[in-house]
Amino acid sequence: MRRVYFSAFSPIPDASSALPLKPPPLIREHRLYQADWLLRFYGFNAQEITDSSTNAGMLPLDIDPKLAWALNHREVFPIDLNRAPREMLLRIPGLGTKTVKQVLQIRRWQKVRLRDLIMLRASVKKALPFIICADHHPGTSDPATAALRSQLARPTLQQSLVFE
Amino acid sequence: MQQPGLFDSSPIPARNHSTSVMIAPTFESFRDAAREMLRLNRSPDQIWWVETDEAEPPGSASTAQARVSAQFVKIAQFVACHASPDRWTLLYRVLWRLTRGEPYLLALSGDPDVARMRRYEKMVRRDLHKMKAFVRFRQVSSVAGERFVAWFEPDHAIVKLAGDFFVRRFTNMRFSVLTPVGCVHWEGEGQLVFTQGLSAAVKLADSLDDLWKAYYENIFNPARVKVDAMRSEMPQKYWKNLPEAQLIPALLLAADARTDQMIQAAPQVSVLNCGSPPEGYQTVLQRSVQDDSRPALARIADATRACRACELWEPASQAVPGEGTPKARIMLVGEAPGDQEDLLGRPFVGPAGQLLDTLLAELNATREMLYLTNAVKHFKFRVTARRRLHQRPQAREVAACRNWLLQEIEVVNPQRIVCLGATAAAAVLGHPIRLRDVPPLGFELQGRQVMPTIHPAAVLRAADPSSKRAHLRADLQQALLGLI
Repeated sequence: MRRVYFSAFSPIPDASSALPLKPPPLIREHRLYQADWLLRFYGFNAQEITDSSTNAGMLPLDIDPKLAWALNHREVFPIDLNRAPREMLLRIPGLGTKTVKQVLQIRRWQKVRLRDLIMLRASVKKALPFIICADHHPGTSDPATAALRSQLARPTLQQSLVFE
Repeated sequence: MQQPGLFDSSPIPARNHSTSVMIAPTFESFRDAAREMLRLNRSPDQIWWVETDEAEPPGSASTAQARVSAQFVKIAQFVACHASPDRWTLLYRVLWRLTRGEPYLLALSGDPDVARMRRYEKMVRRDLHKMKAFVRFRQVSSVAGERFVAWFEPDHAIVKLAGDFFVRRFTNMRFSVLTPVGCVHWEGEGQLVFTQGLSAAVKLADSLDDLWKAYYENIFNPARVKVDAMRSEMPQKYWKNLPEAQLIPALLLAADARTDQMIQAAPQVSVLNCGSPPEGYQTVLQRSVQDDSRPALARIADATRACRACELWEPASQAVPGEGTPKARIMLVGEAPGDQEDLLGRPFVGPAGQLLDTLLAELNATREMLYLTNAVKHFKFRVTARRRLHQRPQAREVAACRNWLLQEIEVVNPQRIVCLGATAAAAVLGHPIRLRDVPPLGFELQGRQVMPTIHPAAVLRAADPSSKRAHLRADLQQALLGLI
């Protein structure tokens, strides 16, 4: 089996009452895919993902699994974009495999700056508290983990059903 | 005298040195012009790129050579299709930097020029991808025959890039894709034909539109609405040329209500409406055994099929009931079914059965005149690497099966019972005997003559088959005497 696909349950008319009536939050499907990607492309192992999940092994819905791991391992951060090996760059929240590949290319020739991350369309806001680069340091006064979490958590989405 | 630059020693170029370069809006035209400009050592800010349709044909003026990586050429081919008017300036600036001291420039994805060039490339690729997804062909009939025509509005001049895809995908269709930035036509063979773009939208519709819309409406899952993902995969700018897109707003508005309705219409019982579960094999057999209207022998056959009195039923394929004339005067009882009998469900069809048939034919009889059955109704075997080897049933198994044999004897009511082998004789008589102790006329059992003899399989196994065969033939001849 090369990979796994996840599909959240969606109710159907005239279903058996043994089936649940309400669909689960669709974001759960997304979180499962993110966790799968961490296993397949980011060098995480399953233990690391379940350790940083919240209640009863469920992935947190408000933050992605990589951010959850980073918040549980504050001692690893901040990571220097100009020095850290690829495996560590892949652990930074907000940086994907493509961004990491480009960061590694850039730093062969010049220092990586915040401007580069912005140009690469990385999630800079998410990455800022966890990185050091040529023109950025998160500072010595660490914000508390809980504060950081609420700052980076995904706002509860109200899906607008009407197109403007 | 020229003023020196602030940060390096190169002089700031004077504005009046800038030149206009006329190019056709294609990559090839730009490439030739850019080679020439590099040869003349014109810096990017000295050049004013002007698009014109009356440019010199590509390749005529240029003899200059410039070496850049294949990667740049590949990106530039996409960027050249972009709609932005500054793409030529951008491409030449990157080219200038690549050839003037920054050969590694493409690795610097964070550089503003590189980032913008990459972004343009991505936009064109995305537009190309969406064109492959959202072109909707409509059948058009004319004097020239059937033709499939599509109207599409891409953001960039991608028709030439997309042409090959549509030819591969719809090789045996005659089609035209019409867009504002160029049209492509395919006649089912030959070369793709590109023509000028159309300024006004073409209104198309055909009879399949309603069918397609009905399909789309029915596959829409109201419980799985992801508006953002949908808008990203199917941007609204393409909607006006997609027949199914007209349905989307109404479907989205009704989605919540439809989901709620499903929840309210939830079934109150936990039983699916599939009727009662199907009857098991045993139940069906039991009913047919108890059905008085069926022939007695058929009921016995079904009873043997349902029989679980010994363990032999489990590995066997099926029970092998007796067969033949229901009112036969002679009954032949064998030992147990073999491999062939087990697979076919009929007695005496293996090698021993064939020998029996031959002997009966020699005596002017056929098996249809008799009733043939076995003392044990299931195949007993041992599995070896190549085949299932027959095993002699034990007394316990013969005793378990004896009930069915006695019922068969009672129903058929034969005058003479020929027992093939000691096992069969023991089953009929109810006690073990030795074949060599059998008196010439056999035994008397409840007014019936019981005549034990050797089994045909014993002939096949014997070291001296001819004498065994003669023995069996003589016994059978005596058994048939007077009754056939």
